Amino acid sequence: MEQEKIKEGVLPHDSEWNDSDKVFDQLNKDFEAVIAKDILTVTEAVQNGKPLLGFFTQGTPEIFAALDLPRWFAATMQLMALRSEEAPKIIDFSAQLGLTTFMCSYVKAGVFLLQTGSFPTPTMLIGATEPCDGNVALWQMASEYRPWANIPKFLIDIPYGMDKLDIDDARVRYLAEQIKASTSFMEEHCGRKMDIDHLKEVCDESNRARQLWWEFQELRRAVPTPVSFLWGQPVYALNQVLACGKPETTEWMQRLVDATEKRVKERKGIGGVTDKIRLLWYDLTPSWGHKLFPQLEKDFGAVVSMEMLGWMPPLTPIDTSTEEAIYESLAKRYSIGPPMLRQGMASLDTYCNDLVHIVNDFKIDAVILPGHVGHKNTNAVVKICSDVCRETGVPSLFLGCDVYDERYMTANEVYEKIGRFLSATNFA
Amino acid sequence: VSPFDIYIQKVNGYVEEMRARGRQIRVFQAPDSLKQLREGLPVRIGPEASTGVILREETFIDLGSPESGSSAFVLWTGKPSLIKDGRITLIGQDIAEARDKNLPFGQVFMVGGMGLTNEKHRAVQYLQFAGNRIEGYMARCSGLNLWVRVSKDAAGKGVCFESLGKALMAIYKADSLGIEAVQVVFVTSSREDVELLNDIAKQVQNISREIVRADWQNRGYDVDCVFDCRACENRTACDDIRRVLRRQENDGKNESSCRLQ
Repeated sequence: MEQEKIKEGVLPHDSEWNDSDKVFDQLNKDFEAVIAKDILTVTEAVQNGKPLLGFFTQGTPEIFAALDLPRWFAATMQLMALRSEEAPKIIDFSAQLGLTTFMCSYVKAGVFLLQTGSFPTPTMLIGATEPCDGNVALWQMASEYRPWANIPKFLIDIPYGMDKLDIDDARVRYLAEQIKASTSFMEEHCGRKMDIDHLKEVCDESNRARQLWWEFQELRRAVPTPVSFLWGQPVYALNQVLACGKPETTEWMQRLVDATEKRVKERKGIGGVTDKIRLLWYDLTPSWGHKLFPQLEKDFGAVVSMEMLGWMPPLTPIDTSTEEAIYESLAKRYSIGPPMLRQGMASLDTYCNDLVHIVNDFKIDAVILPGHVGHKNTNAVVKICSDVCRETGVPSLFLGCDVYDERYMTANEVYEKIGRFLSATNFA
Repeated sequence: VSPFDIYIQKVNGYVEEMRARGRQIRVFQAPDSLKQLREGLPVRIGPEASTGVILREETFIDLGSPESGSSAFVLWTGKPSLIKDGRITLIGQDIAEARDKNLPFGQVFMVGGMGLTNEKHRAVQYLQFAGNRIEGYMARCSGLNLWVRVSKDAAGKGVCFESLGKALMAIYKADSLGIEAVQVVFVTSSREDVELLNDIAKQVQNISREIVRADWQNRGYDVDCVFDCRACENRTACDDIRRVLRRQENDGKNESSCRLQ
């Protein structure tokens, strides 16, 4: 996948930073450098026959960071594929295999990458029973993929109802044991032993970066919205995927917080935008968002203040006092944190409570429920979400789009729907 | 009897236990009328009073960060007589005594009103985040945790737990939920003391979940399905699928994967 194509949609699209915001440009460049370095690490591992982990889950990046184990994330590669010009071809591929067209395009991308041999050949695979169901099916397909028949595999089993962690220690222990077992699995197949002191260092560093992530999120509550919502994505990618537990990430986060804080202090909003309407996009960011959001900003002063991937639920620090405490708090963070896992494996009440909290915390004026075609769980609760929005006093709009396939509903159509909605609710 | 009545007694018992352990405890009495509560507050309250984000350099004190520990919950009762209306209890340091510190934080609101029932439970719960309607005060977290920042400006104007309690009481009473009596306990003494409060919070959380679940069920939704395979009515279908897969594996004829590759 060409790197230039990858960047489109991943990085903030604003090119209107004024002179005082050169630091954001630098942050962008540094993030690109991390992506490039990550790709290089994987390439080197493949070329030199080094241990390489294929990761079909979002959780516990601290573990393989502590093992210094090269790895690729299926999720990242799927996302990159969907943001490339080849996306329609990639999405349509799974239909040729006879798979349902109602499956999430993101999973379809995984099917394409797997069946065309585009995932780098790993020396071990780790998956997890985390949402969505299509993702679990993708893992099953990867498990049965013949060229990988002899590659050792480990599946982390995540219990449902993880929002009850605060009152149910058994679930935490169960997941902690799974994570520990996955560590032993990695140790066995990479030929390295986990140095607990180093794991502790990585976790401490990860805690520092998460603290800054939280600060960054708090700053985004400011009016006007200080930065494009797309900044939530590199933050997520660095902390959860690319460079967890590394001092460089903490340093990058510190610069981001400082620069955002400066904008808040100066009461600066996004360059060239009059922040009149604050929207919550309660789903993943569309790959075609660059065609939609700048237009909404320009024409209506409608700024997306928060979306699902960029939102960090309550901060859960890793307790590094003992090895057992590390694994248990990694389990807590894993289950409470990553997007979709939180929305798909907790109770509906958590989903609705999060919505209310985001609306209140970020002074949201209107909620967009994108209803991504692949997100059956969120589509099933649209009526409830609309009711909750009404009770909270904010209007909501259901779209029913495909956040990765613009052919399903074009950015123009979405723009028109949102435009009509804003007019009907007297915002425009 | 309201489901939380017994926990109101438990929280009062907790305060007595803290007293017995020799903790510094201060008790303030706020007036009962809304007008008097509002009078003399050092900062503004209401939806427009919030000063928004409080930056690190503007922060006088952080309360209840994940490192320090936090516990926050609201108890309600349909019997206002159970509530010592206007009583503000502070266990530990006050705001002015803890400049630039990051203190553990416990906050329990106990509210009473003849009209308070399970139907109003959710709305009452959301009130604990009413702190965002106070000038120079920013509530930062959710769930059982409440992470709060107080600004230097607000501290300079004399915000303390007494005035904070009054401000929150005024917000509670002004709300249309029919709250007649409010009592509050703040804890900043130690993480251990906050964790002790958390033991009560977890029990309260269990009851709260049940009320919410029943409320959703009344509206026709089951928000908290049973995920135990043994209790599932479709268990036989899954068992059949597993049997077929096992047979296929044994026969070495996994047709689906052959076709896909």
